[in-house]
Amino acid sequence: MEVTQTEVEAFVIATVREVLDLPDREITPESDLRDLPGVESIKLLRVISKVEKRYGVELDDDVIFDSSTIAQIAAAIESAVAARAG
Amino acid sequence: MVSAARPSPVPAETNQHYDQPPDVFAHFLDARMKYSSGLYEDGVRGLDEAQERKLAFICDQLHLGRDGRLLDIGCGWGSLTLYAAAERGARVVGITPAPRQADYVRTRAAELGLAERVEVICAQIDEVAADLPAGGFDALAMVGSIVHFRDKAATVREAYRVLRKGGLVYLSESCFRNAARERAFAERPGTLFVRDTIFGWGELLPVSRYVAWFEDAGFSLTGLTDLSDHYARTIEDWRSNALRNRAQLEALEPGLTDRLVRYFEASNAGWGYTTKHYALTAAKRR
Repeated sequence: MEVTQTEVEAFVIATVREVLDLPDREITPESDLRDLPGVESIKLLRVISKVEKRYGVELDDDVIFDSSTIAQIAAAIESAVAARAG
Repeated sequence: MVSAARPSPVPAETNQHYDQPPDVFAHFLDARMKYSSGLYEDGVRGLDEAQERKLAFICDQLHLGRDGRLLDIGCGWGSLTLYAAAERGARVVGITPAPRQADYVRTRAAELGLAERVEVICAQIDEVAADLPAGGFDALAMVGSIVHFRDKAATVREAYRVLRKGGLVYLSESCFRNAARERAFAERPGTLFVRDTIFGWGELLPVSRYVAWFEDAGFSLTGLTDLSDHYARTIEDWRSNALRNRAQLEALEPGLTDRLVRYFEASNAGWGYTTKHYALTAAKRR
């Protein structure tokens, strides 16, 4: 499976909308997850878990606990998928 | 990224949470009302069987046989206390601080004809530990209870004291995944994880802390089992039961179902990322 960062970003955004129940809010790759309304640690972990399952990878702790933006998470997913393929 | 602050809870919440009427728990727990992880071994069909396997696992880990003397610290609704007495012929002392739980276990023991094998003490462990006889027990269990105790190191030392030489202890507990995760959350006390993963007030720790206390008390460690995936399945079954019994739960207290489901979902979000559930066994010997 090959993925582009844009594609992953779209999936992460869709997952954030679903988990945080924000169907209509504008969310961009640069959005800071911690600033979204209704955000809680458990919900963010659920987002991470869904994204990891979708792409079949496990992110490092520093990505999970220290990332702020959707772009950072998407980049880590994209490189984990590439590392597995390579 | 993962953080959320909430006010620090107080110890009294342990009693409040566990001292709700048995009806509440009967609507989502298994038939024995075991409020901790099951064991979903191959061939297990559903929560009741998973909990029975887990009780057998605990008794096996403790080498519990006929007339074996078991101290069950934090006996809850008595699943292990009653199982050990009924299925293994053990003589059991259960301890719980919740009066409703103590009454329930005594009543069930009488109904099952186990009154002579089961004694229930209604107290906090640190109130009664000194009254328990040194070397008076062959086995000791703390199933998801030590997280609620005020002085955990002292409780482990008491466990050592009340066991006979060669006696065995079983402890299972939800833990931080490692010291790094503990540090991250210690900077934000009262996080959702600390509260919601352990059902009632408690202090979540990495398992390494427990290991050190067991070593320091004089125990030899005999086993460590990762039960995290089993707890995730257990909680998923509790969640399904709560949703299926929504009408009965709402009749007891409006809004209860959603609160429970939220508890369960919060707990299950953390396994592997921030939390683990371990069973630790140790022996009183060099």
